[in-house]
Amino acid sequence: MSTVKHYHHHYHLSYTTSLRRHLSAIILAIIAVILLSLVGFSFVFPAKNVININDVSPLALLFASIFTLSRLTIAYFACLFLSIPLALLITLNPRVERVLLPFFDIIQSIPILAFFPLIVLIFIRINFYEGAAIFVLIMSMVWALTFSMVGGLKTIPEDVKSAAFVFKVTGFKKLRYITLPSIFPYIVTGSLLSWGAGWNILIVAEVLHTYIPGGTSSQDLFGLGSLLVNATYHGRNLVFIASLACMIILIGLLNFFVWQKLLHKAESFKYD
Amino acid sequence: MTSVISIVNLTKKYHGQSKLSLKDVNLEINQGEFFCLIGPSGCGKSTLLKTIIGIEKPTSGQIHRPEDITMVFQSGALLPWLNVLDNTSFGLKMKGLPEIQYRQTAEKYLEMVGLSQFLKKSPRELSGGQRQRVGIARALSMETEVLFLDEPFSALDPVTTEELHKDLIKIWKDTGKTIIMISHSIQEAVELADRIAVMKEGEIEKIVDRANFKEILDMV
Repeated sequence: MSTVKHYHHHYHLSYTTSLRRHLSAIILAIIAVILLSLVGFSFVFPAKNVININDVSPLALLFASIFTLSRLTIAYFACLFLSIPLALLITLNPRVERVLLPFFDIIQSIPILAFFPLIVLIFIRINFYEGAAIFVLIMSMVWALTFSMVGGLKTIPEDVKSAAFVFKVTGFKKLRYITLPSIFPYIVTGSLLSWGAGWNILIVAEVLHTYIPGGTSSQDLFGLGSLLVNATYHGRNLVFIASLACMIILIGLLNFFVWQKLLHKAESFKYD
Repeated sequence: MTSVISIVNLTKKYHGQSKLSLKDVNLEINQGEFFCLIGPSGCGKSTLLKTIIGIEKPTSGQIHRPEDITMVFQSGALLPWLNVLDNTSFGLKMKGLPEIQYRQTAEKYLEMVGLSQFLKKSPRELSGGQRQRVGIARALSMETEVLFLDEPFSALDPVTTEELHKDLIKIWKDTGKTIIMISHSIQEAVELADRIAVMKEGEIEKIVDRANFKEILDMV
């Protein structure tokens, strides 16, 4: 007699795993809503650096950390969405690559502060200060991710590409089931470098008054980068050290809870 | 005999190359036969296979082949992020089959190649021979009339290769599929094939059937 197998038993999550996942999802969703609300609030009431540098509370430091992290996260996801089509375009065929790769290489070599103040000024003119900061962050974060993805796309084995052809995996299906998983390790390493670039340029991104003729620190965006600069300017060493400590803690937490886990996960996506 | 693949005056020239990679190739492959293409590196056997499959476009000539084909690759071409069962059922999943159906079919063929105990293993945890068996199971699970094999045993040790030869012969006899295999080993071709085509510099030099394999062996 033949046996019938019920696959939903094989692959269904256990109750506790399911509950834990649901709880994690709810907590993450609440955090995301809070972050988005805060960022949304700052979009509605832009460029109000409400902090009196002589009186910075621990709560203000927490909010500054959240704002900075939100900016970097938004810029990072924008980079991710930009990099995927950009990398695919560059590796489309050898002729396109011969033109686009040097072109983007030149663009990414130009220091962000050389000509971008003009573009940032446009954002400031339309009173979109957050946009200006996120733009600066994107322009410094996008390249590591893009070039890493280009490298990843070139390492997909020919046999795997042929298998995709034979199994008629094309278009979006190919992107989802073959291309993105294949370059996942490169996305993770590119993301690490990208976030590094983001932290590096953070001060420039938040201290917007340097782009505005006759600008003052009240035109800066509230965040860890602007706190660091203004604390130094006003000789508030304690605020400076506290802001720096917050930044180091944030970077450490991200490294521990996000990057280490993703790097470990990426190992199972690598071809031999 | 019914011809399942027919190739007429096929030529292939790669962009930027002066030499033809395939020169006026004519070939008929019969239904249910085990056909082997052999020849030295660079003779055009891989190009011929890729052109038949459709990965490469021919410069001129005609190819008649069934719409649905499948292939076993030299490296196995397994996806490292999927386990054995998911790798085997990958083609069927992409075809849009319901989950229960593609998993049952994949299990059936994994059992055929002796990997029922390895469903949840990652390709990394398998030996070279086991990986190639997964590749064979994946190709078989597509249940196509024609199966292509691109030097599937070239990276394996002699003992594993011998085992897989026996398995492949059994699968061929059980399923009645048409098998077209590329090999660089004359002994392998002689052991497995009904007919052997010898390629040289983009041309089919000769096609020999089992009764005349001595001709091929004399070339060694």
